[in-house]
Amino acid sequence: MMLSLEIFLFFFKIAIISFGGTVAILSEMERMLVNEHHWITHEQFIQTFVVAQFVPGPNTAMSPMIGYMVNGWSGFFAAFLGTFSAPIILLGLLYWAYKRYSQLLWVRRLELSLRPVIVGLMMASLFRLWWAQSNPGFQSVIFRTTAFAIGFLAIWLYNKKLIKSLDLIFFMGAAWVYVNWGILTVVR
Amino acid sequence: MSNAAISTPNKKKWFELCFKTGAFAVGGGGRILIYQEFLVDDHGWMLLEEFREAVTVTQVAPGPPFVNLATYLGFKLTNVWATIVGLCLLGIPGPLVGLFIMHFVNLNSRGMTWLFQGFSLGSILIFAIFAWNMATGLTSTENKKISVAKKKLIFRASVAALVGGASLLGLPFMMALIGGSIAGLCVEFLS
Repeated sequence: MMLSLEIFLFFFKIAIISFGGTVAILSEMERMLVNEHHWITHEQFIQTFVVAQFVPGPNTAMSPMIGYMVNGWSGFFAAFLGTFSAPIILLGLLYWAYKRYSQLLWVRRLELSLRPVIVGLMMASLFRLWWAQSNPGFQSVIFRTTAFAIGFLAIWLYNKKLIKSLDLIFFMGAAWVYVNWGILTVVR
Repeated sequence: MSNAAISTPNKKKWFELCFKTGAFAVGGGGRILIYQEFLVDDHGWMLLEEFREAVTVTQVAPGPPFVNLATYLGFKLTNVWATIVGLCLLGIPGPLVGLFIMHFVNLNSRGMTWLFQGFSLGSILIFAIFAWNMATGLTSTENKKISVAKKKLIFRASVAALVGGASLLGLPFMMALIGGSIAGLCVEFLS
């Protein structure tokens, strides 16, 4: 029970200090989990991080998975509650304040002044995500060209409203397996 | 993009959206567009401009950005309890799938690598579509008292480019956020 409370408080703190997502405080999180609390090993941390990249939903999947490793299902839910209760409290206050004052001209201007910052940060994230795909299997011209071609086809289907955003992800998954398998068969 | 009528939000549909995103939106990055599509285009629960506003406000708050957005929208469209249930539906399936993968799936197999590469590519594409939607939002104000003169639009685009560039060059998130916000405030209040 005590351990679950500690897990809850740990992830609550992490959620509060993380600006821009968990990735921004990954090294600090590892230091605290591995060196300070000795809850998991460095290898377990890396393994959890890698698997968390493949799962659906928000980028917070890592926290309950670590909670489970430390203290079973009780740890899983403690970490989940810790991660999600911070946004509920903070965003509850923010929503209340914004709803109350959003009609004021200077508040509207304040929101508009933040927009270019968010657009800039999004574009940077987008570029980083794209760059992260440049692993060795992806570097050859044929694979990159194929990726662009399938990407354009997917965007075309989306713009024609033939598929929705979630379908687009699955379309790309299926198309990428099919094309890679096809290329390898032809090369052989 | 239909910005026409605002209809009354429905809790069951809200839960459906949260569960669909929590259980199926793999690849990271593109989940915001799924929300925009569902709330603005499909059900007309809010205007595109309101959605952009929610994204801007929640991305600068501490905490995981997408959870922040889902919480804010939950409060805006439903009530506290529906927001909490929605967050559970959004946040629990992912780690369960993660634990399943850790125990039963060989991520090193070629087929799995291709599948997840494809998911990531798809996710990047829908994130790109949403980022473009946000960028076009730089031209709007929804308030006649705030001018959108060409000079101001150029300044806004310059701030976005500077923040993006600085972030890519390794400037920490907080520094980019604070520096960019100061520049953005100067553009909005002084130009």
